[in-house]
Amino acid sequence: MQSKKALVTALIIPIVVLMLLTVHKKYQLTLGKEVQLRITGYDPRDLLAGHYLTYTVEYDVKNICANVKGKAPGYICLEPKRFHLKKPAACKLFIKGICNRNRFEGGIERFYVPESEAKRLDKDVRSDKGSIVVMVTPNGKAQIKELLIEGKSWRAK
Amino acid sequence: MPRLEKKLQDWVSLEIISRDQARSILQHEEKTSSSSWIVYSFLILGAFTIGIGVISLIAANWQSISDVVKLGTDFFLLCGNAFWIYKSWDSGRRILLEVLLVLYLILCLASIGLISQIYHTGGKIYEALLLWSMITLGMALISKRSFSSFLWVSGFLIGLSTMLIDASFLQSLFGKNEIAVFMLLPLLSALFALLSQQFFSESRMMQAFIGWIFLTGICALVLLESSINIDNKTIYLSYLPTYIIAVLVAAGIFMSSSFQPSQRKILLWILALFLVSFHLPWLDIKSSVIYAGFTITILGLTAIYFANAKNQKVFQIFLFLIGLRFVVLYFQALGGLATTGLGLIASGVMIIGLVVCWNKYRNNLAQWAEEI
Repeated sequence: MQSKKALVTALIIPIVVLMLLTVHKKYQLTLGKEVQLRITGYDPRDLLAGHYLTYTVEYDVKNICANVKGKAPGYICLEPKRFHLKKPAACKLFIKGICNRNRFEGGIERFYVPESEAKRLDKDVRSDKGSIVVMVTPNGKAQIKELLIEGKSWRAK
Repeated sequence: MPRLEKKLQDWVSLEIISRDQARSILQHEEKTSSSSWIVYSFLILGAFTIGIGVISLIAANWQSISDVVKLGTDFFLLCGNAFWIYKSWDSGRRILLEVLLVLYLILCLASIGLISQIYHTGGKIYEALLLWSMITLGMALISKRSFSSFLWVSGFLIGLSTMLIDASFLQSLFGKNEIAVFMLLPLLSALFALLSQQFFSESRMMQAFIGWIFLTGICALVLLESSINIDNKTIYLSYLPTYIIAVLVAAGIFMSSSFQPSQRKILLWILALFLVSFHLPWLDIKSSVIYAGFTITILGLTAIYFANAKNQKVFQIFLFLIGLRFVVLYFQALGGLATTGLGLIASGVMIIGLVVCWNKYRNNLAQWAEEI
């Protein structure tokens, strides 16, 4: 029979870790620099978290992930715009990601939306009306802050 | 229970047991296992359904509810559930405790989904499953029933296997070689089962990992046999982790005091044959009969192991699997015959013959295996 202490520890660990994760994600949104990027895409469904838009982010950078076989780390410098396979030393603002078969994944390729809004937003994104606002930290971690349709928040119909 | 009553009546009429003994057996059985099992199963089903319901609510991503309210409600539910578990532990209500543990496990996974949804994290499903496995390990260890442990082990192994196939940092090692990953999974499960036996003997983790050894092992053999004619480029490096884990499992079998010498030998033979069967494509062997031979031998040795360990139920499951593989082999080798009337009659006779033989000799077979 385990002690009561072990039970309490086992019960508290998930709650504390999930709270820390929430705080960390919230804190990340306050860090770094805000960037707006154009997107195009479609609407699948996640079994765990529901509807989301997935799209291609238009970085306006040439030769992204060119000649990369399989998966490998990649960096997109936003100022000046250029792709790197290694961490760019001279770049002021960059997004760290993974090259997956010539496609760059910066961890900002999905935006969760309510089921009722999914169709409308999917249509707008397909019509190239969409863009995302992301916060980019100095170490290249990008996190989505907002989805914009024709420059306005998707919530504003 | 009516079946037991009938048996007891028979034994009383044959004077094998007295009427008082029959009554005592009946009273004991009524108090224990079967009824609590039924209650437990339905309660687990209820908890599971509630958990899925919570996930569905999160998945709906209601626009009218603010993120703060969503997160607040989620943490309130988690804390409430945790408190209820604590209270159930105190009151000694084991079944309720287990049901609440299952609910807590699912709520933790749903919470990861919710955080992912609110902050639009582009994470992979294996990252969510591995995070969930890490934070809920303690809950799975506390559980004294199989379901919570099996749920945890399932989440952990699915997360791990998806990571092996999908993670970018493992691409140079596995390079999307699914066969190498499937070959590795039963061995990883075996290693974790041995570790659980050593360090968490009081929990049900070992049984859950053993269940997954056979699930993943059979899946691996099926995948291997179904990909005989596919010309995959062999990535030798992707087999390296399997060799390392196989050595560790072999060492674990040697060192574990819970196996008899004969059982150790059987397990090591199973391990060796399993490894060899995955190297047949390297020798360009494409005969389905040879692969089937390996599968049937592995299944046969596993059946013998369980008979030797006095586990009749699992022994019979493996005998059934051997029979099934024989039938599939017949259709693989002589499939054309099944399209003719005579071929169908021969197939039917063979199936009936196998069933009759199995029914007639299974007890003798079990006895022989037990005595090895």
